[in-house]
Amino acid sequence: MIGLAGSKADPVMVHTAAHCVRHEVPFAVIDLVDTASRGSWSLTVPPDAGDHVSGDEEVRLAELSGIYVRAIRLGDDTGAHRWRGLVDGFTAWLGERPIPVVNPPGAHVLNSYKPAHYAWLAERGLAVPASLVTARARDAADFLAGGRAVVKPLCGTRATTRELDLERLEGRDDLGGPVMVQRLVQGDDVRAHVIGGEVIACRFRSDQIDYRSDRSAERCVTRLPDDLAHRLTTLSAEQGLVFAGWDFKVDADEEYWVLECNPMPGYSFYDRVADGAIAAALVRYLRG
Amino acid sequence: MTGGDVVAVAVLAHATSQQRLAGALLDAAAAAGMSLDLRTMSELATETGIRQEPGRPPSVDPDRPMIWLAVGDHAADDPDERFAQAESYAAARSIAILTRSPVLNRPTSFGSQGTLPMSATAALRGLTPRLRDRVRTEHFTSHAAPVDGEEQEVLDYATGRRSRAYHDGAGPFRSRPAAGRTAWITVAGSRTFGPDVADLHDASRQVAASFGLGLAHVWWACPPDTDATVSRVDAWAWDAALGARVDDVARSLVAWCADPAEARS
Repeated sequence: MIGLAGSKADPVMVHTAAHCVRHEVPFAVIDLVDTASRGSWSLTVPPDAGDHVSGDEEVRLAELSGIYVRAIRLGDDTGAHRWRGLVDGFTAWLGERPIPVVNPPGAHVLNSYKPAHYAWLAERGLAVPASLVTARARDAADFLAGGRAVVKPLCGTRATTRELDLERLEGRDDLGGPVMVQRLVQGDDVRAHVIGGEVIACRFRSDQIDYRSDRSAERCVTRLPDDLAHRLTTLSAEQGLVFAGWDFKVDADEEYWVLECNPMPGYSFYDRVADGAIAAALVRYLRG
Repeated sequence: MTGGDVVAVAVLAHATSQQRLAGALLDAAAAAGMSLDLRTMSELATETGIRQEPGRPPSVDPDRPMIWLAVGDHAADDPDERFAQAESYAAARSIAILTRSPVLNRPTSFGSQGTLPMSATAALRGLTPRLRDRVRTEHFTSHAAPVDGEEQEVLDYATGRRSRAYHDGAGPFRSRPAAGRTAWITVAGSRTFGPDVADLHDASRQVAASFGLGLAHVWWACPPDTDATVSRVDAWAWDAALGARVDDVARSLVAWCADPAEARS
């Protein structure tokens, strides 16, 4: 039996559970949000046979072959201390896990600090678009003079990518805080999911800057160049990640420009394009 | 290089929770004839640029020796303000990672200060094998779970209070068997501060170095009949954590900035 640890309100967890139901994979739900608010738990580090988490259902952790974790806290700060106590214990327990965990604690956290993340990716030989972090409007305008650019969050928060518009910079001295602008690469988008040694990629063609906002974007499963696929599995492992979502732009010369490596990919949208192949690979890994 | 040549920056909440440390750093820098700027994370992020071009190493401007003492801001209630805080923190942390000059407690791929994990338990279990062998089993529970005949160290998440027994707190709890009295050693640059207990100062230096920390607090449990064991490692640098050691720590951090050889060690 595999464990799904997260929230029942998370569409990605629902998608994973639905896959398990369709394919008759035994699973237990560890609803961390419900457990933190009204459940109970007893966790030992190093792990003990009696360790359990009880939310809507009681889960004996020793009975699990693997655990998929998406510890996303939803709602307000009510009961924040209970959430912290549960997640501290659960994370420490996972760190000493005797079973496969997706993703194990202790993996890289650089994705939430994009400039450092880009530097890490570039150091390892991937093509990364030029970028600038600045709070000065003039610096951003100078960057824009070198070619089209997009504005992206520096932290890990998901946001729709927007093109930088010179008119928005005119007449301003400062931008009100640090802003990251990145050279726009025109071309198709590719999202590649790495699960252990497997790579499953989807390709999108859209006229919009952010294909995720375009319901009519063309989409298909694609195969990455072998050397790139191999590199992604290696670099995912180097970051301590079993499951990662890599985003690329592919230019007219078929060069792959990396945009980020997501350590907790919301994969359900891409799994529909891939006809369930990502969930199948994930479950395969968790079943050991 | 002499102290007078160094233009360094200390990143901390100089007007709030680290105000006393900030003042002590300025005093120590003045005494050493060193130029030290104080910046919050937001100020650092606003005045510093990061440029990255394909095929070139990242460039941080200005690039200067840094004492990274950031403890994070209290999260704002307003979502837009909270996002702005997160953006400033992401920029500041990236600046600290990518700066080529020496950075004390430089963040890494794994931690906000050196390689010290966010999880206190993971920090202990990440110690060198010799020290890790003596780390005590920990228990995380939603409810009080006293053990008959055993004194325990208990953290109550509801109150943040640490004690030697379950009191009336609501929990949840983190607990482990108690193991004698506690010795608290602070490592700051090349110096250490704390009670004079055999070998603990050198051992604390090694623990700090293993996490890439130039400023660290190492807490030891000292049973009467066996070797001391590490019970906690942190790099907290707010005034309340430093207590009476704040002036000594400030002088050591300024000395760290003024001595490039020490900075690289």
